[in-house]
Amino acid sequence: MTRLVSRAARVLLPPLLMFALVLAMWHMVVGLFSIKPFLLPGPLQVAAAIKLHLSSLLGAAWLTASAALAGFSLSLSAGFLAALVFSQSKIIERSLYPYAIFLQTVPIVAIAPLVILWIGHGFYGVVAVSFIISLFPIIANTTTGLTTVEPNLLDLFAMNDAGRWQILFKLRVPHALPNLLTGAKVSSGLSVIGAIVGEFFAGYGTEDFGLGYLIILTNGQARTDYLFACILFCTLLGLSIFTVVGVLSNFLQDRWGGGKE
Amino acid sequence: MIQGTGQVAARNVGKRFANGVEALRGIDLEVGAGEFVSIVGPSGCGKSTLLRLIAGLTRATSGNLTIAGLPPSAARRRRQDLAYVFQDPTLLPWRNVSKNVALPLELRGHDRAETGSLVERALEMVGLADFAGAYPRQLSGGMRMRVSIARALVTRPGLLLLDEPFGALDEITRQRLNEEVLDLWQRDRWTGVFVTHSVPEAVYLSRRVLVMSPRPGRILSAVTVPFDYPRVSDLRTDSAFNSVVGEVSHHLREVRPQ
Repeated sequence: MTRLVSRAARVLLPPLLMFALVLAMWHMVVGLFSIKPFLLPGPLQVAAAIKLHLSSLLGAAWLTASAALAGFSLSLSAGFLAALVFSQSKIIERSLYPYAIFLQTVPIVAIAPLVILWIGHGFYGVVAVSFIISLFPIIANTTTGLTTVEPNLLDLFAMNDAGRWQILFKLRVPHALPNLLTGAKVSSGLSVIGAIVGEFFAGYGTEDFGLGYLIILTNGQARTDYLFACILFCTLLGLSIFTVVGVLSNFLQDRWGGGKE
Repeated sequence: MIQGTGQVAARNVGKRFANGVEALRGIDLEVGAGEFVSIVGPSGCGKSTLLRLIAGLTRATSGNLTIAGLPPSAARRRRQDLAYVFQDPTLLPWRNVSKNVALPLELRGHDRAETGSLVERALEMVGLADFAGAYPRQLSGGMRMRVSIARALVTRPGLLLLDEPFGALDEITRQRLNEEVLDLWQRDRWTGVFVTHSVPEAVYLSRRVLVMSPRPGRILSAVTVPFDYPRVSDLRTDSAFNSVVGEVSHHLREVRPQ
């Protein structure tokens, strides 16, 4: 237990100290050069904005998180299925893979309005944008895992006259699990970005809004302290989803090979 | 195990790969049931290819190869008694030792109740009964190879093909595993075809040692090893043993291209 605490301290202390240092310098710079608050609010003003708008921020973060998690779950299942299909047919992989790369390279900000136009405003539109941006890492990593099985292992299965499905589910899929998990870590971070970008273009209705909408709103009204609070919440949201997926994936990866050596 | 299923007969077998490389030419080979034969030869001479042909993992492009009178793939399917030990242990890292050993039975849709006792027996044979729940990455190289052998023997094969299984191990582990393989062989008397780079290993294990030429691989000579089984590790320091090793090495030097 004490070892765990001391390990946590060793991991957490340096970045926390750094954070405090940056806050202090930020505070001093804003006071020293008397920078206008709409350009750069001080840390105390941002803290005040968080306190004032806490319920709005939490509500927005909740909605954005829901959209991101929905987009991520869709990516995980659709990406896995697509990779399964790719692993079974070279022709299908060759004909579809370039379009999967297209998903990766197209600037999401450019196609988000189109997606919203087709899917419609509201939750599903935002989920769709989040899905599109987080799909590729799952497809790419899982396909790699499914298709890079050692030839000797394939021979072993052939020696026992294994069928196509046995090779897929007893060899390729478990072999690809670490790759799938790596893809999931990258994808989970991207899904938050996707949800926020989606919210730039689509609201959830008159009452509800996400962090993306709040960013556009506060920016337009030059409420920079509130905008900073939004950015902080976006970062925390991305970080927590990434951490949860990361911890889960490390846990599964350890179990996959029977725990640590 | 069906009596006599281990016989391997090759008549004028050749193998040319799709890229035009001729790997094997005019291979004549006869391995009797219950015999232990080793194949030695320079790197790239097609030893492994020959083993893969016998296993039915690849097809000969000329000649005729049978196992107990059947083409290899048919022999494998019908009698399910061919097993292959690869150069690497080729264990599945996500399965523990006993699940790795159970794999061949599982893939063949073997009865579950019987699987447990067969796996137990195979692990006992290689001395790993206490490691049934361990995962491959928790084991040493020698132990992984033992698991690999247990997995090959779990189906009680009549013919065991071993493709340089101990090449990556240190000399002490290698010698101990040689002795263990002989013990296992004496217990069940499967037919063994063993490919190796090591002449002493080949002589220690086999009734006959076949020497292959560089590519395209042909069998140039066969040396009969005169020592009776069971063989003990002291044999390795015997002068008669060393003269057989010398004879095989001499044949090997002759086939080296200069």
